[in-house]
Amino acid sequence: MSYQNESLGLSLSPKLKESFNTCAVWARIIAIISFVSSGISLFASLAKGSFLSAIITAAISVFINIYLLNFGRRVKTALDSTNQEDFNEGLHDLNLYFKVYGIIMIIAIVLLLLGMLIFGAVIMNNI
Amino acid sequence: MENVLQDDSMLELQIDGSASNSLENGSWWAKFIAIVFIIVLALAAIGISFAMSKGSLEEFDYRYNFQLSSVIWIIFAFVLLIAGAIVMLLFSFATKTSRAVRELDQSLLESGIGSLKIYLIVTGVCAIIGLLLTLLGLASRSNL
Repeated sequence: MSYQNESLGLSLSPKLKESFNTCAVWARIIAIISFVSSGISLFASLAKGSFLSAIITAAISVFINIYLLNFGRRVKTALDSTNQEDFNEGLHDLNLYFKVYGIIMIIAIVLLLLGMLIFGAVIMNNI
Repeated sequence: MENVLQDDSMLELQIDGSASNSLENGSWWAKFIAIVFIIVLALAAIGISFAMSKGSLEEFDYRYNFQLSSVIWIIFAFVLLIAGAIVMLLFSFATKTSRAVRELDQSLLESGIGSLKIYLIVTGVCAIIGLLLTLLGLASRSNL
């Protein structure tokens, strides 16, 4: 469903503002922690020798959480400076965060099912 | 006076068409993610109850002369409970927000964004605890 750029009767009440403000703070905290965790897992994987899988995992984590960081940053700026454009872009980043998360989840499920099919086929051939 | 009020409202942030669109699309994906996680958690709970009934961890009790299996089951149950609460908060955000945008319901939107707020706080606290445990693990491993 698409809407035009006009007020729809929903306003940013003080309660909603407070909720968005807390969301913005915690979104940034989560994003920064996931960046640090990705760095640590990359560092730890150097010793184990499983560098490739750690790079892929860290890249996916950073890619997803950049949107969460942008959501937090833009919504906080929008609330502080009453900037509607920043607020809309912040919500767009939240939308992209969930969208990318969901798409990566679909890819993971497809790969898992494919893996199970291949594993099943190998076992059936061996019997 | 009316004009002044109108000008004031123009300076306030609003949930306009673009914001509503983002909230509705985002909540659709959030609902999808929540449903997938609910299925995964349900499967995990079934798997854990099956393993419990088989007594899979009882060998630890003999090895360490301690009811370690009970402690591990309690930790499993606690993690499942926290994960379940997080997923339900995400599901609550998704359903309430999409309905609020469709029906232009202000109180439902406040409740939905409130759920997102608690979801982010709980996830953030879990992420901080996870990071601290990882650092502790790395530190103890480097000491060994």
